[in-house]
Amino acid sequence: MISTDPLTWYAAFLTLCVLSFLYRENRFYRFAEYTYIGVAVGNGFVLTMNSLNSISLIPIMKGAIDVILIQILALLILTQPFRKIYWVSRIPSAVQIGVGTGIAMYGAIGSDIIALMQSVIKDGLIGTPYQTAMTYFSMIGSISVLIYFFFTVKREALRGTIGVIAKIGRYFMMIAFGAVFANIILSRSTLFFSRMVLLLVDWLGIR
Amino acid sequence: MALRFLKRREIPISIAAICIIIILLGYFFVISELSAAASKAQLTSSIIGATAGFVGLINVTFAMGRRIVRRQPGHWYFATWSLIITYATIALGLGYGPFSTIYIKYFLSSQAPLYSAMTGLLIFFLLGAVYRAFVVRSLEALFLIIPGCIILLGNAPIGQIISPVIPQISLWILNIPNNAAARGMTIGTGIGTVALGVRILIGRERIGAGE
Amino acid sequence: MSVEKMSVLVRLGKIPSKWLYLVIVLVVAIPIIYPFGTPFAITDATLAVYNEVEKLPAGGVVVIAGSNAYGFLIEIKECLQAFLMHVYSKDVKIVFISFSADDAMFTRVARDFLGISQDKPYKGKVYGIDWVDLGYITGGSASLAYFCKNAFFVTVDAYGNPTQNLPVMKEIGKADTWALYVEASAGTMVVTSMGVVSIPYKTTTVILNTAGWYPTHLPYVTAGIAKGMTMGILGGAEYEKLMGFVGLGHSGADVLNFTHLLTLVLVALANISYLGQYIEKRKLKEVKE
Repeated sequence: MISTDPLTWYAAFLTLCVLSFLYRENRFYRFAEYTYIGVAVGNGFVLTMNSLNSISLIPIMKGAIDVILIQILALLILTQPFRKIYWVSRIPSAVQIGVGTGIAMYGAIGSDIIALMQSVIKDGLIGTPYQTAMTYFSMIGSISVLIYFFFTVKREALRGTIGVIAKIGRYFMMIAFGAVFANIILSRSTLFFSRMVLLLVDWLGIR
Repeated sequence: MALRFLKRREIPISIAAICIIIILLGYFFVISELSAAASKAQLTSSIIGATAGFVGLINVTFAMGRRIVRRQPGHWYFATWSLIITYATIALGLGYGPFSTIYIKYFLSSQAPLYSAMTGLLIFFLLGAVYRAFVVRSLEALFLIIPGCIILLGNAPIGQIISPVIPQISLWILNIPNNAAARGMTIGTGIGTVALGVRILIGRERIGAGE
Repeated sequence: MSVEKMSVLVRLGKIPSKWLYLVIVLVVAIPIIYPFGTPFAITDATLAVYNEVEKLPAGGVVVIAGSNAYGFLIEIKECLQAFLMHVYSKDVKIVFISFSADDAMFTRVARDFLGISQDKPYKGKVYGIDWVDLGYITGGSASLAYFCKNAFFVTVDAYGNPTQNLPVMKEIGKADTWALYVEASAGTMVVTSMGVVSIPYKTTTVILNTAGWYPTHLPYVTAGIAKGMTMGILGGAEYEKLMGFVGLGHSGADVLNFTHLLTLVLVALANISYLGQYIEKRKLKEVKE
């Protein structure tokens, strides 16, 4: 049974506007594009204000001096859209970059480097001959990929042993990209499936 | 004089470096003052991020406003519509609250289908690209396509029906060679992140530019 | 082989895009209209996530965090719904927190579908006492890092209630006291949460991931940083099967059969066409000689 809900019709209309791009770029698609920009910016602003209220405005109203000072620093970022005073926004941006980089560095050292390097050799020492062989195979793969990205070695040297190991690394990476490709197909199929469910089930009531 | 000093590129670089040091010291040393300083730095970053919401709104308003003022053909009326819908969304969200029933319904009928449809469109271009370009022209392409096809078949439930060996091979490819390469790439990314942090610390990275 | 047959081979790779798009639409639409109910097995990775929830201690705190855009999160909707059904049936405290605006809406939509709301209890869980939604917090990794130390830095929840007044907030200590941390998102936030939550606080972590990011984040599972990871809609179908019901995830599994087979057919056609072009070139070369 076809839907009588106007919001479902609106959602279906917007979906069809986007899908019309498959034929060619047209005004319906452009309408959907601009609608998306408007709604996304508006929604993002609403939820950001909610967050600002929670972490800043309420503590300020309770008299938290440190939060008041932090908020004054944060207000400097509002100069970013204005060309003459844009340089002021570099200060709060620098704080964000510094904090983000510090956290990323700590995370990278702990999880990306140490933990993963440990896992490269962990299983090979205790296990069945098959597990040991697979672990060494895996270790060769990880090391060869790392060597591939070792760009401080001159290109000429890559023709030797380093070149062979780097080439093996390339083949391992190709397998990984093949895996990503297969999973991306799965992922994007699911996204389109959800739109077809809206159109066929929710809007047209076919099933 | 003071203004010219504040405009120098060393200022934001120094601020970023100090923040990095505070965060790292807060993590690596269990000293309450350092931990408190790191927490304050993290709170500062969160509040700056929240305040930057206004910047996004201002930038979009300027961008759309320019199209309207210049009467850009084919775009200016859509830009008008976009601005109307932006402020209508804000009014609705701030008026009723972002988790009110009316706002959720509005979100589900507008942004949700739009974004989902735009990302769902990718399957068409992806399969089009597969059809045009996924050809075994070299050994590397073979290593890309064959495991990809096996995993495709292994992921789909029909792969198990065709043969129970297919999901096992697919799982082996994911867990051994793919895992090895992904691990190598992740370790490399981690080293790159640390290297970038060190570059910012020693002032070699031009963050946010400067004079 | 005659020249005419070779032309056919080459023509296999020259089908116009619009016909291809029509086939894709049909391939997705047919299983929705006529569900086939293809059987599928449950993978170890999804079973690991299920088992972690089964092992949750009574009174433990489960933090469900997420980020990313709604368009990508929709892929894990079925998985999140089945997961929520499971975790709400346990004697635990549940905390939702989002690091993207879209995720805050996404988790709310997933809960609405199950009938979980702050107005009435769901499986005996009352809002404010047994579960809370802290909404969207800006700041990404910095906010997550701060939240791991002090949950009260979020002063109001998603519905505007002061968190100081919610009994459940007192149960949320530092991240090392959490029974389970669930990263229900995709992309770089998974990497961040491994470094900010799982490693420093040694918190038991599971990931509800999208399919596209699954191979890239698999090293975290094999390294033991994350205990389990589900994969997109397939993970959702598997979790639905573990929970004993047939939901939209099952239909998604049907669609995957067709789209994956179509992809394989397209790869085959592209390579056959390339082979045809190669043979034609060789023939032309021989003719010239």
